[in-house]
Amino acid sequence: MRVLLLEDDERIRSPLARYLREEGYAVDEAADATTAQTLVGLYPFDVMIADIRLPEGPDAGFELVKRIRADDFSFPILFLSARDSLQDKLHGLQLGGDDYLVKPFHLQEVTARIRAILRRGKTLTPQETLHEDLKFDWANRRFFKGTQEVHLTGKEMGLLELLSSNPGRLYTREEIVDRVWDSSFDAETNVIDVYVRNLRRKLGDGVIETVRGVGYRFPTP
Amino acid sequence: MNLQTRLSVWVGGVLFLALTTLSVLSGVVLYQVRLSDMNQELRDQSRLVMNSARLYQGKNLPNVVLQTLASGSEFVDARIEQQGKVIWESDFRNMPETVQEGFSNLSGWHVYRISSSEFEVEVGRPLTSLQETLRSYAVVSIPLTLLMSLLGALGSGWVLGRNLQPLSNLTARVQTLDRPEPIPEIHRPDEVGMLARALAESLETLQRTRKAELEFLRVASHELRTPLTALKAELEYTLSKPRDLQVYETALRTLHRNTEHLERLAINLLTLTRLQGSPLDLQPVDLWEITGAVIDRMVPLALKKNLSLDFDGLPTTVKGDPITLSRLIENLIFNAIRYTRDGEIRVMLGEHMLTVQDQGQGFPQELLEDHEAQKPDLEGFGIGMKVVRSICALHHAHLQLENTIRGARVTVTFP
Repeated sequence: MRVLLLEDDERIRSPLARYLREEGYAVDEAADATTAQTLVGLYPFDVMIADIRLPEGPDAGFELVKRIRADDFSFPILFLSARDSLQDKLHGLQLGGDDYLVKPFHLQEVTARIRAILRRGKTLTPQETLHEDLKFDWANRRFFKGTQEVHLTGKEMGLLELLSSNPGRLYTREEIVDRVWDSSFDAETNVIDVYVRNLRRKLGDGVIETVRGVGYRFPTP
Repeated sequence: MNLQTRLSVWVGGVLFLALTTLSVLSGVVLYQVRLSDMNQELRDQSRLVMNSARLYQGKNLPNVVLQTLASGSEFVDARIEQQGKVIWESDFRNMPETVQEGFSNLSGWHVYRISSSEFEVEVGRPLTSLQETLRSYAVVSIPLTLLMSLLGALGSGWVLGRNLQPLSNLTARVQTLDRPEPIPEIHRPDEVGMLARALAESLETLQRTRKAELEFLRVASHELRTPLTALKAELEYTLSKPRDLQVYETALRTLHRNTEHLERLAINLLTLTRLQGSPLDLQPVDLWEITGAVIDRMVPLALKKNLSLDFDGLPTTVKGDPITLSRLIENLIFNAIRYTRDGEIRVMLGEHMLTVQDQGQGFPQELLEDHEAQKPDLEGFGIGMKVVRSICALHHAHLQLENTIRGARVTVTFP
């Protein structure tokens, strides 16, 4: 899952980005609305986290989201702001935001909200069965095989989450690189094969299907 | 007991005392008048009896004398003596004897005695008639006094109630401050009107103060969110899993920096509340010395960011408060350091003038456009610039913000 993180204050952006990366997200950082808009045109984001007050102005976040929605980008957007008035929250949601988080927040809350907006329309259970006896506790972001917890690295988690979010859909290697790794990663698609091999070793062979020469997919249940 | 009842009771009481005094006085006057009437009558009768005694040598007074004695409102008893011996008596009732000349009161009788060379004459009447008069007077006057006092109290209560009504209206309005209705009775020319005007005035001051305090709280809580979020995010990231020693060390350094920011914010918030409190005591101060001290404090911070901090110009004396002035200069230099990535920061002193020039990104347009409106939600700039503006205003100094080709420039001109 690739996240665009737009926050002008480095002291907040940096730990949040580090945390999200450890949780398996690919994170592209932007300190102002202009950079964010450029990034939106370049990469396929799954979700965007946006501050409202930016160097461009007190409502630059709102204006950017308005432009993004006008350009028909439909990925979920989560606002992050120190402004806690109902008016601001409503305004953000009316512009096409999907959620609104008031500072100060818990890092865990950010991932939980991202997960919730990505799963919108599907039933949310504390433990989701992904495949056979493979379960995902999404609130704590832990994977279980049977009752045994499986420890995954951030990228392993990101890869598994991307594939399992759409069982049966085929993801090309390029697509996977784009959505699991951020712009700081120099794309070498063969790295994906390494991660898939590791995942199969930890979770069993059946968990990821290979489509020879094209990419990978998560089996339909 | 409320004011109305208390005043009514007082009016009733005073009325009662006045009426009672008046009644007693009237009673005494009535008594005196009746007594002098009686004395006159007794004098007349005694003269008549004396004349008759002389005429008839004290014996066998004719019926006409007795008729005269019985002719008044009440019988007058009479007695004639000759050298202490009773020689004639009217025998209507048992009038007590006396030896005292003139009027005397004995055993309920009022007796008048006159003497001539031959006879002594005593005439008298019982005092009961007088007492009777007083009693009937009392029967009328006592209930009347009580009734009048009661009516007076009730009447004054009613009048007071009507006059105190505006006060009740005022009380009802003032009980809760935050109500939209205007203060009633404000145009009355009397004391109630004065009270209403005084209340309206203090209410307005109170509401203004409250508004300012609420605004301050709003700004403070808003400003605190950003550094708190930074602290919390860094802490939660570091604690989310076990990490290398080096990561902990980096995190601690970051947290220390964040805490310093929080501390600066707290100091500025405190300064702002103090500035709102009382006016400053402005004395001539050496601006060079104050600026120098601040520069010395800020140099390590500038060096940490690889910035040079230059101080130049001429010493100048301005009227000011040294503590708040150093806070002003510190805030300006801190902002300059914070928003300059590399280059130098120049602090210049001139005649009654201080300039801080940085090589950063410049002020945001909204800060330049909105000179006077103290926009509270300018994150980062917010409180620091608010403090700068407040201190300038208290020093009657002019604050100029501008963006030059190289960066931001702040000029403070003192009067």
